[in-house]
Amino acid sequence: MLKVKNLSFSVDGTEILHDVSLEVHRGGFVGILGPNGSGKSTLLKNIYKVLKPQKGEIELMGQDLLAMTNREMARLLAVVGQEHESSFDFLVEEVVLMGCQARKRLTEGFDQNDRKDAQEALRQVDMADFSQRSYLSLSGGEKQRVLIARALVQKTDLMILDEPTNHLDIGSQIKTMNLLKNSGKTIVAALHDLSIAAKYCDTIFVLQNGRNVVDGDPKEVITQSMIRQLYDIDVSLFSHDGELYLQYKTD
Amino acid sequence: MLKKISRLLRDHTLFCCIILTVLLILTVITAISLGTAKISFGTVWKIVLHNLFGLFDLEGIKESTKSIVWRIRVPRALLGLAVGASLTLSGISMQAFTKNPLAEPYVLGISSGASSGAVLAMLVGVYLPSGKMMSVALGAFLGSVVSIILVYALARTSGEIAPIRLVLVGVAVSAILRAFTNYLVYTAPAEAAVRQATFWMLGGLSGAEGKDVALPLIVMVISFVLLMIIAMPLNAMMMGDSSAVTLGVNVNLIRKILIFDSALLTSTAVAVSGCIGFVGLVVPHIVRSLVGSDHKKVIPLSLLGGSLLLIWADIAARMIMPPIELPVGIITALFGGPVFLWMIRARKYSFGE
Repeated sequence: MLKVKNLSFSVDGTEILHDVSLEVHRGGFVGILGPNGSGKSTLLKNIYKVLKPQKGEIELMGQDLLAMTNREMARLLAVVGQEHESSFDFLVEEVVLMGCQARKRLTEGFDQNDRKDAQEALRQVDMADFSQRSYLSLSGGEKQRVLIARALVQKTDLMILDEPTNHLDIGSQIKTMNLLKNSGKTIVAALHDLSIAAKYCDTIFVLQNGRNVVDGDPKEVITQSMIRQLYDIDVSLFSHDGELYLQYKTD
Repeated sequence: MLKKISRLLRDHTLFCCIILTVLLILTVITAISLGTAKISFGTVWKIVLHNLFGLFDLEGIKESTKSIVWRIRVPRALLGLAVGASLTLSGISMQAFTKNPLAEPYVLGISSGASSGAVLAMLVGVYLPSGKMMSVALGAFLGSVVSIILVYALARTSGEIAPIRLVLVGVAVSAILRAFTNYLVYTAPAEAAVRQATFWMLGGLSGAEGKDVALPLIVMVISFVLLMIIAMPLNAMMMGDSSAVTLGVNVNLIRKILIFDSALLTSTAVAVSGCIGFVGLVVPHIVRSLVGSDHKKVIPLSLLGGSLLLIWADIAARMIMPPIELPVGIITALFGGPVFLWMIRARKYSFGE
């Protein structure tokens, strides 16, 4: 579904991604892990055309992503990024409806079906009562859920999320991850929380200093030695009923 | 009360636009009838409808009255309409480009560039290759285009224009150009020319003639249509450029359209009316605080609001201390400056992201 081949990206001569390759299969749930500054966001931005790689290829549904227009891309993949601030206020419904834009002609308005889709998406993220509220008045977690609803309205098979559980309390984190898991979409998400990554992802892709150090099944990737190498901390791992539990050592 | 108005404007935008259009027509008629020589509403209607559609008989109406109405007051009112709308649309374009509700031609230094060009043409006498002296309007046009290019070029780093840099560069360029203009005015030998230049720097609609009106009106209509076509992508861009890209917007193209549009609007408006500040700032702000930021609503409502505001400001400029006419820029600044300050204090508007 999504293939990244030998991608390199640098800014002002500093290489941020070096020869990264990644493959995502239909229906997969891929977690991208790595310490701060390892290039997770940069890799995702290269995939969703906000940044342009100097080298490498990206293939989406068999088509060359780098040759697509933004509009063509927006019909195939939806993104929940890390932009939450704006000086301009909209109604929550207006924000969610922006997800329909890519399949509309410029002068075409939103119709009853679009509004129904928007309302349904808001219901899925537990924000059904918020459609007439001002977006800027929402909390960080609520904004995040509205942006997920906007991505759902794009009706794409693939969804890319950059740290979707940031700003969320633990309850909302679990709810959000359940929602993504049950959405039937192929998911690629940059994550920080190792327990969550272990629980929800079927593939973990680890970046360090802009290089892909390892990828594979969570149980094989999330190990004591890997965590030590990435984050320079010690951890006890144990598994119970097939689930992975982590205990961080603090001294 | 305010909530009700806000809901009405938001849910029935088209209906409100029609009401505002009716209000605008009445305002234009009022502006035509008020002045040193008062002319009754009825007479104004008769003369206007007669000249437009051949209706009514104009017997009993003096030639001088007909001439005042048709040659002086009608162009002035229409110019007020076009300039008010153009300044507002130009404000909306710049605010969308910079993603900053405080951006406006006056604030970004583009009006200063126009006044430098105009004053240069007026006081020094700049000659064109044809040997003819450059007109004030042409000077203003060239001045604003030069300053737009200057501001955008200086704000540009590695192919990108960061909104925060644009605003800061605008402040600096504006200060330099204003100093240059002041130098020209201060050292100018002829006093009459100085007063003319000053009036122009302060902004005004007096001296409007029929031939001055067509271009600003055409530019206003074209850019209104253009902005309405890109209203949806503009909304997406207000959520951030990255978000807009992922929603399918060709951000680079939209930005180019916005630069072109704001340059065209500002230069034509300033060329015919001088520096009239704060209209492009105040009107979109008031409209947004009532209906939110959806450009499909903000653009038409602001256009009508900007026209109404400027025509009424011009009526005030004529009526406050007759027979002396104040430059309308003084009125808009006295009204707009405090609103600008209130905007900065009341909400967490900040320069940059």
